[in-house]
Amino acid sequence: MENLPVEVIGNILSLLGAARDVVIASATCRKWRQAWRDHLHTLMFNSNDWPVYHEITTSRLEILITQTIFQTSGLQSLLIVMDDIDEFSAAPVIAWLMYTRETLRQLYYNVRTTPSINILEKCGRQKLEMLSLAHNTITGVEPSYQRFPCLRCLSLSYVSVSALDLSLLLTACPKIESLTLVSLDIAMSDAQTTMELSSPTLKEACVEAISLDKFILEADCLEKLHLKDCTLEDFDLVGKGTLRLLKIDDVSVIHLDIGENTENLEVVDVSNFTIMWAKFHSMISRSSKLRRLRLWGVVFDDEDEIVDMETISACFPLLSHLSLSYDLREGSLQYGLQGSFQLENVVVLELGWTVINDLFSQWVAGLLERCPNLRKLVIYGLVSEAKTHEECTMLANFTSSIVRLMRKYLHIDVQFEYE
Amino acid sequence: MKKLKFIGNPLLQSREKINMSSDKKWLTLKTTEDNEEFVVEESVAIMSNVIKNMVEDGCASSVIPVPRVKGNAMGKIIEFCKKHTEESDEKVLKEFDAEFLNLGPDALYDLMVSANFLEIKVLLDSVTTKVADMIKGKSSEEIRNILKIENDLSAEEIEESRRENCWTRQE
Repeated sequence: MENLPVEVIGNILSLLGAARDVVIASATCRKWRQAWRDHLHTLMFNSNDWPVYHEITTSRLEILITQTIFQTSGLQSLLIVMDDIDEFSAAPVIAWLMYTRETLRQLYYNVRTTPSINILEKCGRQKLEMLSLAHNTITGVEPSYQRFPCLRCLSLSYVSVSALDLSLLLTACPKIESLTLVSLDIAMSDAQTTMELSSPTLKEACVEAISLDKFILEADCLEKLHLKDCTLEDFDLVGKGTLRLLKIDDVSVIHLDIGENTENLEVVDVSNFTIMWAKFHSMISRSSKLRRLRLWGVVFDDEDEIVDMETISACFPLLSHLSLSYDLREGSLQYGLQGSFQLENVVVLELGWTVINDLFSQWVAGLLERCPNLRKLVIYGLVSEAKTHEECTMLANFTSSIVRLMRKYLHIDVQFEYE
Repeated sequence: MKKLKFIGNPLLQSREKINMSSDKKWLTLKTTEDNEEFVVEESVAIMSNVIKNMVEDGCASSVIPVPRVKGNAMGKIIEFCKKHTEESDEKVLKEFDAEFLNLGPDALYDLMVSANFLEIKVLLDSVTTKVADMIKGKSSEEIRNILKIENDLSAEEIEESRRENCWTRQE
């Protein structure tokens, strides 16, 4: 204990993270007290850590956060995540940010302030690497003097910001790699809501719950794109074909363009989406490196369109994970499984139904035949609460047919997930 | 009398001796406190940043003296580094670490002091995480018992702490 350097104790306290635990541990002895004062680099006030946080008044909370932060020095990570506090007054928040300005590398803050303050102006910028802001407003971004030279990850949730300010903010972050935007309230000057974001270093973009007419993302290094719960008319990704992962979940978009060059796509995950198969197919047909394809809860724009398995096996020879769940019709079964193709490298197959019917077990059987190297099969089913006699019979028949089917494939691990 | 330790299966000793001259490079680490010698592969030894720098700077001769670290601690450290160089499966490593760190506070302190001194980040991070987990959610007195910490705070310091941080004791 005597030989343990005080910096190492600082690390232990920083790993504890939760402010209450840190303060209690610091009261054990002189060395730990010193470590808490001089060598703590991470401090977290999270309303989920301690139930008593919910019972303390807001002003009392402001006092204890201020007193605690001001007992430390050299803080690098400050996390203030208070889910049921409406707002903090501006003065203590400004004090916390100014006190940690010189050394701050990571800031998580999700409480509104009154009066509203410009967090970006007050927080440390020189060393900041990670910023996660929620329930605040961003205005008046000035990239000429307000730069974030080390910022790699930026996350904005329930933030009010203009399209222009957001675009300027990105230009003020020359090293940004990851951008997460959730439920932004985007202020517009024109009738048409357009957002243009550009970054030469961005690698990951995750956009959730955003409504826009036009969204243009220019990112020459983008590797991961995730769109969730968005309503867009036009989405354009302008880049150099570096995209490896594309995930689209519950998005309504009329025109989606991820560029001509899709050669590096390895994972395509589309769920709760309306697909125009021909268009979709031309979008990804050149992705010969594709390893994972998931089409889940998708609806085809043209009722006659089906997922043509033969094309999938031809376009994606390296495919190892295939997940399919959509309405099966007689035609899709016969036509979709036509041809003497094999999905050589598929080791995991996930198949789901939204409404169970006779076709489903035939489909499972048909696909199993085509996957000679399959190791795992997962069947996902929706079972309604009020089961009619017909549905029960259907489920029973399905179970029997799967049991019979899997006797032929004893080496495959079968799992069921019912919702 | 000097003890020459081979880390590894003793039955393979003779085969290892023969392979010594082949492509694998070997180093001898000698703990100067108790004169124990350990023969390890260079790839394992350089998990210590201190030893890595010595090797890269060319000042690592046939025997590297390691002060401040006792023989039994050195043995354990080498066991850790060897496992972490050989194994790449996260799950296996996690299980190994959990088993390996099942030690009392004194042994954990020794490991931390040595890992810090030898600059072995992976080991230091593992042990500090383990210690943090041991004390999470505990009271000051409980922490003192678990980690065998002696309370050397003066009456004034205790009082000052109590007043400034009384919110932590709210139930």
